[in-house]
Amino acid sequence: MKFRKNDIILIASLLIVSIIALIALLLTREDGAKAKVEIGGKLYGTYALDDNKEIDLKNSTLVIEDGNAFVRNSNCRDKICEHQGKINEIGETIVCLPNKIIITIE
Amino acid sequence: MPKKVTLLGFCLAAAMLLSYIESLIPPLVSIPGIKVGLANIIIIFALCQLGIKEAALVSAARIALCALLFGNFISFAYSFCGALLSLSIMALLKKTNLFSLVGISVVGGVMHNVGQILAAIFILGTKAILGYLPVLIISGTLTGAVIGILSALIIKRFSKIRIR
Repeated sequence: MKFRKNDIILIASLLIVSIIALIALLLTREDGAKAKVEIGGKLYGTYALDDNKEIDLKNSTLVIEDGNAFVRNSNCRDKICEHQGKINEIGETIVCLPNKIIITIE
Repeated sequence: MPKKVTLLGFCLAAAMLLSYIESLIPPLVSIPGIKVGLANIIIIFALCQLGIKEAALVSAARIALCALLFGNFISFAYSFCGALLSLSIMALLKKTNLFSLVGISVVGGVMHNVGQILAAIFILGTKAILGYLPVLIISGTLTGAVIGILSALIIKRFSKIRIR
């Protein structure tokens, strides 16, 4: 088994393109004002980030605190939504795949 | 024929075992969809040693059984979309003979993530998750390369034993 030249070109171009896309995404971010919650594709609610509160999302809790949004008390297995931490910039998301919850900052 | 059934059963068992082992590893990073994809070693093995139909059969059976045992319908939908896209593109690339197993597996890994993003756009009903694509392509490329190297090693070892 050996690497071919094509493999190297493929791997390098995939990495370069996605790293550039990632940097572009990170550089164009701005502070957001609202957290939009969608569950199963339906709008659940939109909450202002400058207003501290806790919102019950049935299977977890959305906490808005000091301009950040994060998830607490999720009943899902991996708790990836909780580990995604605090978000506050436009376009940032917290996703909980098992509970079909997506939180987007606007 | 009986020999082939035995071999497919062996592949399925090994793929399920690897899925189970992987489900025990806690997520390393807090981004949904990042996984090593150990079971893909077996799918690539089946694709190279047995054929496209056989690989698809093992892959579909693994996903259905794993969803029943450790997942749910949602996890089934994500894995199924990822695996379908991944295996079809890998089979196509293998035919072109442009890449070694590592290249094929890299594209397989990336396509797995692309398929899952497409499923998520459909299930969650939002395009916001497209922002994860760059990170998932990077992780798919790296894990795909590792899986490709491992698959090539395993195929080389098995070529010394007569399996057919």
